[in-house]
Amino acid sequence: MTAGAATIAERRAPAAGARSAGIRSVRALAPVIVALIIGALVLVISGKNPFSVYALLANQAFGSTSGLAGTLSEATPLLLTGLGSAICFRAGFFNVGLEGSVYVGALATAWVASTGKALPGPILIAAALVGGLAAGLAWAVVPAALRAYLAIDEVVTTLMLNYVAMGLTNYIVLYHFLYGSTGNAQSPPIAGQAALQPLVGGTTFTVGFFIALAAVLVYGVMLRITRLGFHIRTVGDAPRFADAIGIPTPRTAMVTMLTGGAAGGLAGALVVLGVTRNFTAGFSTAPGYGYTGIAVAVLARNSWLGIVLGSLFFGALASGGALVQLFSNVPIALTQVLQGALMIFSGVTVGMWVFRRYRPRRGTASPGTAEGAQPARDT
Amino acid sequence: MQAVIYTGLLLATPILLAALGGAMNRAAGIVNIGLDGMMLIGAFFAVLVDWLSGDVVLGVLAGTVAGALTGWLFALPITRLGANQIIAGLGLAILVPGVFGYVLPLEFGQASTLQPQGIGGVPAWRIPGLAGLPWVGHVLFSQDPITYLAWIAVPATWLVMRRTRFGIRLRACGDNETVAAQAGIPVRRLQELSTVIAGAMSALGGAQLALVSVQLFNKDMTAGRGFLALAAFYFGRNRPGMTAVAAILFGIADGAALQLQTQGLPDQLPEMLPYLVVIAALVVVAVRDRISKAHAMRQAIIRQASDDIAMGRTV
Repeated sequence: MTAGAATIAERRAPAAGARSAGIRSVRALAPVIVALIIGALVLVISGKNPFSVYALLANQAFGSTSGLAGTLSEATPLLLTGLGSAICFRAGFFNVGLEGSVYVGALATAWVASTGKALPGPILIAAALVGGLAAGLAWAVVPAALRAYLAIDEVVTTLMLNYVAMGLTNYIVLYHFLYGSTGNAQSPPIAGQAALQPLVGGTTFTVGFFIALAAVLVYGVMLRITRLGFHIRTVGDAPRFADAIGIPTPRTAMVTMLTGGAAGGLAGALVVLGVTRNFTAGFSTAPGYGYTGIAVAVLARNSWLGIVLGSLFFGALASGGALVQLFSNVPIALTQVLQGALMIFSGVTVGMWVFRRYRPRRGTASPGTAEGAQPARDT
Repeated sequence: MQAVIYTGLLLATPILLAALGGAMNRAAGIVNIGLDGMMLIGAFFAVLVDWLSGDVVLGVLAGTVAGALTGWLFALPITRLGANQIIAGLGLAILVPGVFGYVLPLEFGQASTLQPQGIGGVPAWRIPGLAGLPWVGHVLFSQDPITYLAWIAVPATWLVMRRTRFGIRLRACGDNETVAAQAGIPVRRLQELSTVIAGAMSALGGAQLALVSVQLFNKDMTAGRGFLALAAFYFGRNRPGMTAVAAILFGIADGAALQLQTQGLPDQLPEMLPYLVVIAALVVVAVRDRISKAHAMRQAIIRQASDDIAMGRTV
């Protein structure tokens, strides 16, 4: 790769997306607005006042110190799964397998943190985090290599492996790592010194949030100024151009998908050390940290700032939603409705409604459209 | 053994129906990851209408129509508003259980299960003459009508996709949208129609799931069967026959898992098997394609070289 080629691509990128910040933020917010409208419809149909429910939700999520701490705690794994999804989507690889990495990462962390009782706290915490990260990364090796070297559709392989991860961790916990004789499939609690201590009393807001936030910031900087970041952006924007100038596409696929797996593993690790203090089958409650991370990345359009805001949004929904269910008899599944609607309408922009007649383009690519979304040519 | 195969075929039906619909959808250019949500919609409306009307046929029809409608509504953001099909499909698979998780406690006072009293299920149909045969009579000819319908759907899907104008136009949309549109094929409308078909078939599968052996609705009852259907049509590479083979194998794995569970043995391992089989199948196909491509390339080079020699050119 020559410096000349780099400048061509650098010049190209801003020109392609030359829109004012205002238009861009409206585009990014459109799916949120559509989702909130759909949620409001659901609320109205069931006889609730959407404004008061949303106000209560916002108040619960942001209105008090403990509420805010709850939101940040819920946002912690989402920062990482959002980052892990975004880095793959940015390079055009549709890795939807972070949920699996979350599970295996959490199990590895729980194992390290409960068996290493003899180690001092900081070392045990570090070992447990590294264990979770490594397990999550390892879980991504197969789909990453299949994508990179055999061009096998990563959507299918990663999605399938999510189910395998859930079954496998469930099996390991039930038959080889079960705590006591409780009916629940859960592992023994982690050693006391391995637990991340809450920064606000009575919540699960820990230093993990800042670890996750730092990771997202590193992602933002890396994407902008490093050679790897340039590779990722170029492979994502113009794969054939990337090939032509000698960017190693398979290596980019490996690096992004393994980073995604590692981020998922770390997310699971932080939940175990900071929140659940053990591994419980199905701990990644519906719809799952990994899947919510996909929604975060899509909403963020893969930008670091968007990941931070998106994680806070979904974190607020999760923590506020739990409290709203408690106080006003609105089932927490409402947040799942909002998230699903948001994902369905994520590629939709306000502009397309208004100008659709004048834009006869079909098959407009959303960010992250990979070959995986194309039908196979084998029929 | 007989029981495992019988149960396996019974459990394969929802997967088979959704997989055939998904294969058609994919042939038209939409990879439908939302099949699971559509299946759940079918299960719910089948139970609800069966309960309210007391007519099981009406229930199954209502479930199917609800699935078709869901398919249409799901297709619109993709075909008309540029939504990404993968993200939207995952979104639907998240949205639908969310809706039921919201509606069931509020409207029915139930956390996750709707089990109306005295609701009629879909009965088994013993095919006269054939049901009396030893072994196969029970396994093949004492199933429920929706299962028979699913079996008929296998050759029917093949016929529609291969031998009708509709099917050929559908596949043209998937093969090359731009060219299909230039040839005057209404690409978006056909893609929407194929999603409606996928929705209806998945929902019919959902109705079978809810009304044949259990007669209840649970918001988690599909348990990822829509994703198994995705696995099946990827395994079958859109060919109905191979898709059916995969779906039935997955059903039998499911049945075996149930059998193990009742004996107190780990059922997680057979449950994981279908997912691993699909990945292995994709690898085999990719490697085979790669080898045959390399072979074709080598043949072309040899042909060129021998031509050159024959023409007296120096190689």
